[in-house]
Amino acid sequence: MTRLLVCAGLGGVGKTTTSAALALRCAQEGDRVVVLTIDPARRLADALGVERLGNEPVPVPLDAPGTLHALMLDRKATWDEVIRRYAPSDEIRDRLLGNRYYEQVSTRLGGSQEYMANEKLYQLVQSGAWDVVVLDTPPARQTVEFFRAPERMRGVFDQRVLEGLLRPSKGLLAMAGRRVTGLLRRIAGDHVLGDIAEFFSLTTGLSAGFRERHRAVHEWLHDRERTGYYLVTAARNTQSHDVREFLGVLEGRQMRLAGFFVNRTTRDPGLVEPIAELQPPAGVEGVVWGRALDGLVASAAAQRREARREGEEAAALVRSHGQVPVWMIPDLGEEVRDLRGLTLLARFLPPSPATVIA
Amino acid sequence: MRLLDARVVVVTGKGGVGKTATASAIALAAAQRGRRAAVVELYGAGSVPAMMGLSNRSYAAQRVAEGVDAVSLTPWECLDEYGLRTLKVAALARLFLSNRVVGAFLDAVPGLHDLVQLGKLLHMIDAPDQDEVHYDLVVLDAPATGHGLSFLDTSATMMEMTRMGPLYELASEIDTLLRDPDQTALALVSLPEELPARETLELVEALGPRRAQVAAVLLNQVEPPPTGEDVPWGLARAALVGAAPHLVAHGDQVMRRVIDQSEWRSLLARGLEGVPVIELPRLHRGPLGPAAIAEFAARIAASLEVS
Repeated sequence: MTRLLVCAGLGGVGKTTTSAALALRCAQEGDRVVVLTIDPARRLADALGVERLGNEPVPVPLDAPGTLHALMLDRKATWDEVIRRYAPSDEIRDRLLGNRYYEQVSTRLGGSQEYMANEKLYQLVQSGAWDVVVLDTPPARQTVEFFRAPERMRGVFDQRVLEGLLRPSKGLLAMAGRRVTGLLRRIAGDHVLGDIAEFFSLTTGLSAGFRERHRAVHEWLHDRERTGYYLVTAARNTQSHDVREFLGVLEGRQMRLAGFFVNRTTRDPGLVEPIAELQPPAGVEGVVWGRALDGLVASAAAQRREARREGEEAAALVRSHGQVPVWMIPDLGEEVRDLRGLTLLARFLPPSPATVIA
Repeated sequence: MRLLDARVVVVTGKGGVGKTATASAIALAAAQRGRRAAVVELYGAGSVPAMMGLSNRSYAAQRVAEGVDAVSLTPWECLDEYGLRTLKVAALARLFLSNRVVGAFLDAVPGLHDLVQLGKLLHMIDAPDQDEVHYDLVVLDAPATGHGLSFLDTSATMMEMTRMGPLYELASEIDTLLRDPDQTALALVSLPEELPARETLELVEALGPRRAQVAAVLLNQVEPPPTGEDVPWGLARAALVGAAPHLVAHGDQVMRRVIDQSEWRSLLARGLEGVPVIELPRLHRGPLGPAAIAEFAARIAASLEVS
């Protein structure tokens, strides 16, 4: 069974890099791993030592018992792939690929990226080629969007809903339908409605497949034996509203929280020495010297308080979530640029990430 | 265009660089100059209210400081309001919008959610109803770059897609407002670190004609030298070695960051010729709150005085 490790968290907390390091850690344990990333920055390709990341897994050159592959979700390419693979006829395929509304759906409709992440995930798991898939989640304003966005899209693609609207038949329901359609026309205009109606009539033959694949992914993501969630946060904000909301959703859905990654923790400078007696160097006035030293002491003390606060909040996370481990990842002071940096980062991650949920 | 004189300030930048704090501080700085300001977030993110010390998000304006309101929009609340205004008859609008089919349809129109929220923004500065506040300035805590650019193009895309009708009209009004350098300013938030700095320069490059609307780049988490500007760290370090190893190690660490940051600060300054760069200090205070926002607002005001 392919196990899934999902790295969730807000943009800017180091999610993509952490996902890659987590995947590396699994490969070091002997797993056949693939990491699906979303971040379009070239940097990750560099860090992994590969020429470029595309929509299909590429091998990462690695000296490890397992293997590591990486790919970067290309929303548009994945949509096209899905249409090409599942369209019931060449004619429908071509008309869909040329439909104006499809162009919008596949490039910019909110939620369609998350939706395609699910399609990609489905392909990866179905291939049977992987022990572990590490999933980096798309950047979003709220971490819970990872769950909500594809569900909203499923609502959109639920033919039973939109068919009623766009192709009303006879009878009382149709009258209500026509009235609603009329109002929609008033608000949105005819062009939009026409394009959308064509799109949905073309996708009729695909919608059962969409539903089925997404039901499968939905089940996997809820399967505690298969899928674990790692919540990536910035050290300064482990008690944020966003974190609490995400944890609430996991708990409500009885999904497995595998651990926390607290990124860029502050280094504790240690006890600040008394230096009031220290004489100023030649040429520096006593007042100026005093002010400079006060500044230094205050900054060390503030950093010390911050380090402690982060430690206490991490301890609170451990307490409030039972057995779930918290991994503190220090600020390494530089960007991860190559496999060496990624290996260094991986040392701070759990020893065998995937066995947590085995 | 001066940052605090705009009618709309769109605040964007890479994820995690401090957009929310910066947007809040800009609103506060403008309010301190006597302008009625609102700081607005989208999709009910809850980050603006949290930053300003409020316990809940709310579509209705919440007062967070003298002259500053926090407004948290969701597409659904904006759609309700827009539907009500367009369809006039309240009962009809409610029936229409609560329809499951309509809900699915509205989710299916790309950019509609962005558009109706921008529509609300327009309404806030242009034509509020009698019992509503009229804002001189709305500061938008916009999506992260990448999303940020396509977000600015929402209105143009919508115009292209609809070609006529009420949504077209709305999109066209928004487009005019957001492209007008006399009304809308862009504030780019960044950090003196490699990735955010490069991303900021790439964004400016990608802005095209909108580059003229960039009123400021706000650089967060700037590290002051360990012993201030008057005493060089090398001199202080020599005196401290032996006496205070922890402080020396701390000062060295800070100094490394200062040196590292100076590279990206100058890279940004070179690439952003003519755009004021406002530096905001790194605060070791955990999650930022109203006190930090007040400090940032004072810095913004001070550096705009100078420039």
